[in-house]
Amino acid sequence: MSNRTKVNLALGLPRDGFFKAGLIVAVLQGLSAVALLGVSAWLISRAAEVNSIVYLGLAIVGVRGFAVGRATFRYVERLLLHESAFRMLGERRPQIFAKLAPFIPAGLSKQSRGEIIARIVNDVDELQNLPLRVISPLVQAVAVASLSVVFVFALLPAAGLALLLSLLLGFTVAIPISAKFSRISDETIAPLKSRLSEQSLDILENQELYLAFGWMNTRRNALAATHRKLRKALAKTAVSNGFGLSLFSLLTTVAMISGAWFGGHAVELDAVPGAQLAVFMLLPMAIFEIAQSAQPAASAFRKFQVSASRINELLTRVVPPELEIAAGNEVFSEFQSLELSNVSITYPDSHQPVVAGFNLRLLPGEVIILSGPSGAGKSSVALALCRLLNLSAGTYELNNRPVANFSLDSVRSRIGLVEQNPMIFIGNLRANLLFAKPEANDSELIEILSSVGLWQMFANRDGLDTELGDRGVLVSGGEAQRLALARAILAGFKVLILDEPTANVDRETADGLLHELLRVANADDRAVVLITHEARYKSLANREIRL
Amino acid sequence: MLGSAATVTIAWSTSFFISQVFIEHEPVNSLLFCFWWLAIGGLAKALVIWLQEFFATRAAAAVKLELRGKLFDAINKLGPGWLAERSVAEINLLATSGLDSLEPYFAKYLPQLIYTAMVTPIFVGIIWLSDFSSGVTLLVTLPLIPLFMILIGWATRSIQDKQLQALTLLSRHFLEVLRGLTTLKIFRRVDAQKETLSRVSKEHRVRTMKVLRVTFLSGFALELIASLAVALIAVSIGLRLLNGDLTLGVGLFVLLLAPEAYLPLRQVGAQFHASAEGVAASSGILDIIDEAQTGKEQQAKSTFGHHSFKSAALNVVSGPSGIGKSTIFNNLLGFGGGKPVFELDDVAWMPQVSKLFAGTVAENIAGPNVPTDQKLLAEVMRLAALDDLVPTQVVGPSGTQVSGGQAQRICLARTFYRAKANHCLYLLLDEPISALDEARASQVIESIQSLVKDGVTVVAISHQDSLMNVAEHFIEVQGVE
Repeated sequence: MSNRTKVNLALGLPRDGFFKAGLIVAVLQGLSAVALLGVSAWLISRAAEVNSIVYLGLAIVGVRGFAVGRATFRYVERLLLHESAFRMLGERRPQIFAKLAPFIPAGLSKQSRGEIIARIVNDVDELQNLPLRVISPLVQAVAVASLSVVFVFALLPAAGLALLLSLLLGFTVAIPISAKFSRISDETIAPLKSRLSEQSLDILENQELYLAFGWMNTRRNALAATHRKLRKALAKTAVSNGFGLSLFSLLTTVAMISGAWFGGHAVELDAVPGAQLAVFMLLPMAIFEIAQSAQPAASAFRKFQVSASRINELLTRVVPPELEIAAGNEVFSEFQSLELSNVSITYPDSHQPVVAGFNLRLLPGEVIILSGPSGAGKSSVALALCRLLNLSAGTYELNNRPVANFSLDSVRSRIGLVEQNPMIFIGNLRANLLFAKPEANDSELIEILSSVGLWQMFANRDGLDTELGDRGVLVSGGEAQRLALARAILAGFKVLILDEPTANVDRETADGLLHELLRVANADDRAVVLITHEARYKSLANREIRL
Repeated sequence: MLGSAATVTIAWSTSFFISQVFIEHEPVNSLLFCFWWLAIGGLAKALVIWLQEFFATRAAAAVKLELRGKLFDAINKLGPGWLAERSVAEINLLATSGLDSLEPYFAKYLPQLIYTAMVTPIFVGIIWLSDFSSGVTLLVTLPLIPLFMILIGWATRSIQDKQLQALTLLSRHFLEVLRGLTTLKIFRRVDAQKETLSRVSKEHRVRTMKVLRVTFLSGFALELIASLAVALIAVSIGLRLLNGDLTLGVGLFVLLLAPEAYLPLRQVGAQFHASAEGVAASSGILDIIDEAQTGKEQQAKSTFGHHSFKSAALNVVSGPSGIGKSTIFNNLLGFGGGKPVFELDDVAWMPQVSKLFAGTVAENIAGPNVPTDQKLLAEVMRLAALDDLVPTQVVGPSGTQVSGGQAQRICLARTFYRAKANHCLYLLLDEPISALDEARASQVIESIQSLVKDGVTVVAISHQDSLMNVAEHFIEVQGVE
C-alpha cells in the first residue's frame, strides 16, 4: 500500500463502533441472502425425498428467518454506516477549517480562492464514499465469499475449489478490468464535461452579444460538437462497465456448471447426500450477486483518492513565514499611536515585495487616505495592519512598542478592517451583527444600525430578524459597507481601515456614502485609514499617502 | 426479452438437471445437454447485460442532447431581457449538471419501467402454468410492492424534501464559513466558529439520521416483501413436495424464477427514488422550455418610441442615471422581450458592459470561427484607438486580464468591424468612451464622426461632455412611467 493511500485511508475511514458494527451487520446481511437461497434449495430437495415435516422444521424456520434477516440487516447496516460516515465528516470539517485559517486571506490568491474553497467543500463531502461505497461493499463481498467457499469446501472440496477459483477470477480479473476501463473513460469524461460547462456558460453570459452579432449558431454548434464527443466517451464507459457486469454474469454460470458437474458426480457416487446438489448449483447465484456489488468500489475508491489527496495536501501544508504571525503576551488596550517605518511586504511564494520602504504614522482621531493605482499594495498594507500578513522588512509599532509584544487577540480587538467585499452570512440581521460583539443587546444593535443609516430600511422589513445572505434579502454594495461598518464599531475597533468602500457602488451614490461612512467611522476619536484610488476625497483626510 | 428467455433457460436446465440426477438417478454423462443449455443461457444473459448498459447510456445521451438544444432555443427565444433577471450561473447549472441528474430517469428508470411491464407478466404466466399455487402467491404479493412504495412515498414526501435540504445545508454552511474566514479572523471568531462547526455538524447529523431512518424504510419494505414472498413460496413448495403434489423439477424451477419475477419491480422502486431527485432538480429545465412556448410576445416597454432621431447624424441620448437608457437599445433590438424595432442585420451595437469571450483579440473583434478580413481588422483597431494590444493576444476569461479601457476599445473595434463589414445603417453605442482617457476618447469620437460622414446613423448613450459637445441631435430621456 502506498504511503499516499495509507494517509488517505486514515483521513476517510471512521474508526468508531458504529462503523465496525455496520460492517458486521453488512456481512450478516450478505450471509442471510446466501443462506436464504441455499436453505430454500435444500428444503425443496429434501422435501422430495422425505415423507414427514419433522425433517424440515428447522429449515422452514431458517428460510423465514433469513428472509426477514436479509431485509432487516440491510436497513440496520445502512443506518449504522451513515451514522459513522456523518460522524467522521463532523470531525473533519472543523479540522480542515482550523488548518485553512492561517492561509486566508493572504495565502490564497483572490482569483483562485473561491474555486479552491468550493473544491474543498466538495472534497470533504466525497470522503463519505470510502466507508459507504468502498469499504463496506468490499468487506461484505470478501467475507461472504470466503465464508461460503469454506462452507461448500466442507461439503464437497472439489465444488468448493471450483467456486473459489471462479470468485478469484471475478475479484482479480473482472473488477480490475472494468476499473481500468472506467478510469480511462473517466479521464476523458471529466475534461469534456468541464468544457461543456464552459461553453454553455459562455453562451449564456454573452447571449446578447452573440445574438446581436449573429454568432450564436457558431457557438451552439461548438457546444453540440462537445456534447457528441461526450456522448461517445460515455458510450465507451458503458461498454466497459457492461463488460465487467457481463463477465460477472458469465462467471456465475461457470460456477453453477462446475457445481453441477462436481456435485452431480458426487451424488452419483453417493459421496454426498442428493439433497445437496441443489445447494451446489444455486448457492453461486447468491454469492456472485453479492460479490458483484463490490464492482463499483474500485471507481468509487479512485474518486475518493483524488479528493482525499487534495485534502491531505492541504492538511500537511506548512504555514510560510509570511503568514506565521509572531505575537507576545502583552495586552494592547489603549490606542495611542501606530507607526510603520520603512516597511516591505512580500506575499508567500513571491520574491518581489508588493510594498517597499513604506512609512505611516497614525494617531487617534486622524483620517489618512492611502491611495495609488490598483496593484500598488494598498490592501496588503491593510492586511499587515490587522496582522493578517507579516512584514518582510521594517518595523510596526503600537504605542511606540513593537507590535509583536502584544497578543494577536488584543491587537485584532483594536485594529479592524472593513473589507471591500464584506461577508454577509446566511442568517438574520441580528446574527450578522452579534458575532462582532456576542453580548450586545437589541437596543444597542438598533442604535448602531441607525447611526450607519440602515435601521430605517430593516425596520420596514422584519427588523433584526430580517434574513440576510443567499436566501434572504440581497444587500446592495453600499448597504453591505454600512453593515460592515456597524459590525466594526460594535467590535470596538479604535483603528478602522476602510478598503475601497465605494468600489461596488455607482458613482452617483458613492460620494454621499463615503461622507457618511467616514463621519461615523471617525467619531469617538477613532483613527481611520481610508483606502481609495479616487483623488477627489483628498479634502476629507488629514494626510494622503500615495503608494 | 432475450434476457428473460435466458433466465428461464438457466432455471429450467438447472432444475431439470437436479431432479434427474437426484430423483431419477440418471448418470451425469447422459445429461450433458443440460450443461450446454446452461452455457447458452449464461452467455445470452451476459450479452444482454452488456447491450442493455450500452443502449441505455446511448439513449440517455441522445435525450440530453435534444433537451439541451431545446433549452437553449427556449433561452434564446425568451431573450437577453429574460436572462438578465436571472442568475446565469444557476441556469448554467441547470443546463449542465441539471441535465445530468436527469440521466438516471432516462437511462435507468424508464427502460426499467418498460422492461418490467413486458417481463413481469411473462414470469408470472410461466410460474402460474408450472405451479398454480405459487402463481397465486406471486399475484397477491406483487401488487404489494407498488402499493407500499406509494404509501411510503406519501408518508415520507415531506421528509424527503427535508433530507435534500438538510444534506445541502451543511455543505453550504461549511462553504460559507470558509468563504467568510477573513471576516471571522478580523472579528476574532475563528476558534468560536470551529466549535460552532462541530456543533452544527452534530445537529445536522442527528436531524439527517432521523430522516434517513424513515427514508430507508422504503428500501426495507421492498426487500422484505420480496424475500418473504420467496420464503413463502419455498415453504409451500416444500410442503406440497412432501405430500407428493409436485415434482422436484417444477418446485426448483419455480423457486428460481420467483425472485426474478420480483426483481424488475423492485428495481423500478429503487430507480424511482434515484430518478425522482434528478427530476426534481431539473424541473427548472422543463419550466423554461414551457415558458418559452407559452410566452406571448410582450409589448415592448419602449420609452424611445416617442423620440425620433436624425438619420446619418450623431444622436446622443442623455438623461439621469438609473432610468434605463440602456433598455431603449434593448427594446430596439428586441431584447426586452418584444419585437425588434430594427432589423438585426442593419445594426451594429455596443452594449454598456464590455463583453469579452475567451479567444484572441482578433476573434473578439471579427467573430469566433469566421474568416477575418485582416485589412479591415487593422483599420477598426486604429479607429477604436486599440494601439496597445496585438490581434493575436488571447483575452477573456482564460486569457490575459485586460483593463476596463482596453476591453471597451475591443468592443468598440468589434462594433466598427460589424458596421463596416455588413454596411450597417445604424450604430448603437452605449457609453462608448466612459472608460477611456482623453486622448483616446477624442480619437474614438473622430472615428464615430467619420462613420457618420459615411452615412451611418449613430445613436450614442453618453454622459461625457466631449461626446455631447459634438452631437448633432439630442434626445433627452426623462423617465419611465
